[in-house]
Amino acid sequence: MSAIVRIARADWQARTRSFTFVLVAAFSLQLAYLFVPDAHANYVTVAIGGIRGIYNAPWMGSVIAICSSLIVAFVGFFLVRGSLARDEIAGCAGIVAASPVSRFAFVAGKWGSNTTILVVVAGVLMAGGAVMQQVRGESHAFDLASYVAPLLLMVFPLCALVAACAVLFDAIRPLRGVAGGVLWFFIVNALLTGALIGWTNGNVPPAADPFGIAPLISAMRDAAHAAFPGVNVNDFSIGGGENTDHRTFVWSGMVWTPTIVAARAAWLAVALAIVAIASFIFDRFAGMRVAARAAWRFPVARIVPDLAGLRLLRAELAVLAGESGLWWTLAAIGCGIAGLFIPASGMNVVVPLALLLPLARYGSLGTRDRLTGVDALIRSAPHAVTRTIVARIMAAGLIGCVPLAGTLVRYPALAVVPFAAAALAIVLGTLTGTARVFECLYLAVWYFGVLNHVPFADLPADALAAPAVFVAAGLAMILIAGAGTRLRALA
Amino acid sequence: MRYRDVAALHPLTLRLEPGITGLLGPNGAGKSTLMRIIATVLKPSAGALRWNGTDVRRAPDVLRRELGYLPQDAGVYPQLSAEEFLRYIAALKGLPARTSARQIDRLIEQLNLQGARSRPLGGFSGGMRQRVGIAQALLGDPQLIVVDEPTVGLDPEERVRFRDLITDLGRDRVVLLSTHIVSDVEAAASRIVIVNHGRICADGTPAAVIGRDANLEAAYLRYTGVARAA
Repeated sequence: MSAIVRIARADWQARTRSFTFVLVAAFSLQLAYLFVPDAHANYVTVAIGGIRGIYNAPWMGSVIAICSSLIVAFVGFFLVRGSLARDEIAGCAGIVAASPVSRFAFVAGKWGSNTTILVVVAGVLMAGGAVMQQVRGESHAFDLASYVAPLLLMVFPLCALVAACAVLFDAIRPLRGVAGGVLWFFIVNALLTGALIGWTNGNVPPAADPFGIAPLISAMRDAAHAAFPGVNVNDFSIGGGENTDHRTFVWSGMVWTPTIVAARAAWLAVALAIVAIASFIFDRFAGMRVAARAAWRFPVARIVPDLAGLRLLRAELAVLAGESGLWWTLAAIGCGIAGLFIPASGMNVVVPLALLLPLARYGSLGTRDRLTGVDALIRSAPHAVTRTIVARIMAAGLIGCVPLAGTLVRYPALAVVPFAAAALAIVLGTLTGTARVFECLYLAVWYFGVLNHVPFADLPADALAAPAVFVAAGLAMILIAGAGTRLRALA
Repeated sequence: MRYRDVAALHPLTLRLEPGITGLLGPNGAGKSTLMRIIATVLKPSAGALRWNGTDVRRAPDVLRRELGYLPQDAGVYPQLSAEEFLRYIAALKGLPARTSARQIDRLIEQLNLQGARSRPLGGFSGGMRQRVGIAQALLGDPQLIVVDEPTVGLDPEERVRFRDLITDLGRDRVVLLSTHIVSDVEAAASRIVIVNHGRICADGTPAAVIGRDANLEAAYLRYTGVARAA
């Protein structure tokens, strides 16, 4: 037990002493502010039939807990994943492998650190929510127990569960990269949809609700119905419903029955079981050696001419081609060709796939130099920072256009999307030092916008409507990435 | 030991006893592979590895509990201080908190890291990081110390300090030390093993290995064929 705690503590220290963690904490506080909009704002965070509870402690605690759950599940996973890969990157893997620490103790230590980070993020959100209750002033009475109970019973078990899944995805090497991120996104969406659909049907078994959201929503619905019998209790919105009905009701919180508490505790047990499975799969970094094998690579040198002005672009293309591998290349080319022949109705499949495939190539754009130690070489070359950024965006943009190739014949304006995405990947990678921020953001935009056509996030529709905006954003990001690279060098 | 079709190490037998064994060989000779196998990080394709009679391939933890290992290119968490990093390694090695605190204090002093014990490792020079790497290998009072290129990045004064420390440790422990700096092993090792192309081509006391050559460097060049090639 002592070893687990000490490993978790060291891992926590290593991960929280970074600019990224400061950014996350600041972002969490900003979210807490957004979760509690003014009574006259044009949105409400949580509403039943368009009405909400007054901002008292039980309502605030529940709303922040619901929103925190979604953030922990969607964003938190990306925040904490990679804890095992980090030991390989840091060069500590050999030391760990040669130590007598058991696989379970090591993996459980990583899980403990992951869980603590997520709990802290949720805690910051809760603290911000408490302040916002006083700022909004609809009720100044602060009942600590009813405010904190949803955090303890809903969010903390979820933190443990998400943290365990992150370790499991790390232990399964093929899931460490983008594939794991995509899979997680689909899993969480399926679970959340299941919980919400189950709630509207009035039947959510605890086994289908890792979020613990259903009993809370049910209690809120009953309170709204009691206050306003005519309200449509099946119309439940989370995140940003329109604030058209300004009526409010007083909610005094829910009763946490032993059954509900036991169900939440069961999810903690599930988390522990996942940790045990992860420790069984964890290869003690033995798989690290296999990664060094010579892989098939696309012969860029034979295709791109060796012209003076194109040498850097050619080199960047070669690096990206080296990362791609045979199967990715075949999939990208296949998708590109399919875009030529598939009828317009099939575009709903081809375009999302064509925009998802390059995510594996974008991820490392802003972090590769630091991880490989090449950054000092680049900074020491004349005018290399901006030239490298531009060449890298062009190379990644061109690679991103391969799966879109057939579609571009019909919709050439879509070509701006891969270039803008590459520019954003470089900016976020440079500023945060990790590829996970971009990965999470891109997946969210892809899922909600590209796949489900949520306005403003629907990249293909936006690109066709206003390609110039993407170009301008790409140019602005080149400047930001250049400044960010120089700032990091000074830090 | 084979990587796909390439044999990194050919069948060899090496019996290690208390004292310092210096492992020499050109780049790619198989030194690091041999050390990783001994450190239980790498499983050999065939053969046996025993520690005091125990089959280490079956029960690696028996050796791991008595092992101090410094890999080549060992890394650190740049955000942690030297003391915090050593505490982390102590936890991995299963050392009780009190014992590890005492040992960390002693090692920090022995490796001349007192002034930097609380500073983040990210700001350390290469040599200072290497000293932290050496310190972590020596945590837990290991009976088998496997150090791969331990003196890389150390200045002459620190190299002498390390040599004295390892000589002292080698009196009653098994130390396997790999390096390219022939003078390091010449001064400290009681036994020299030269590896080339995955095979042991010399094994004996420094005097026996040097034989009629002028010094160990000349003998090393003769055994590895570099002198002939030149």
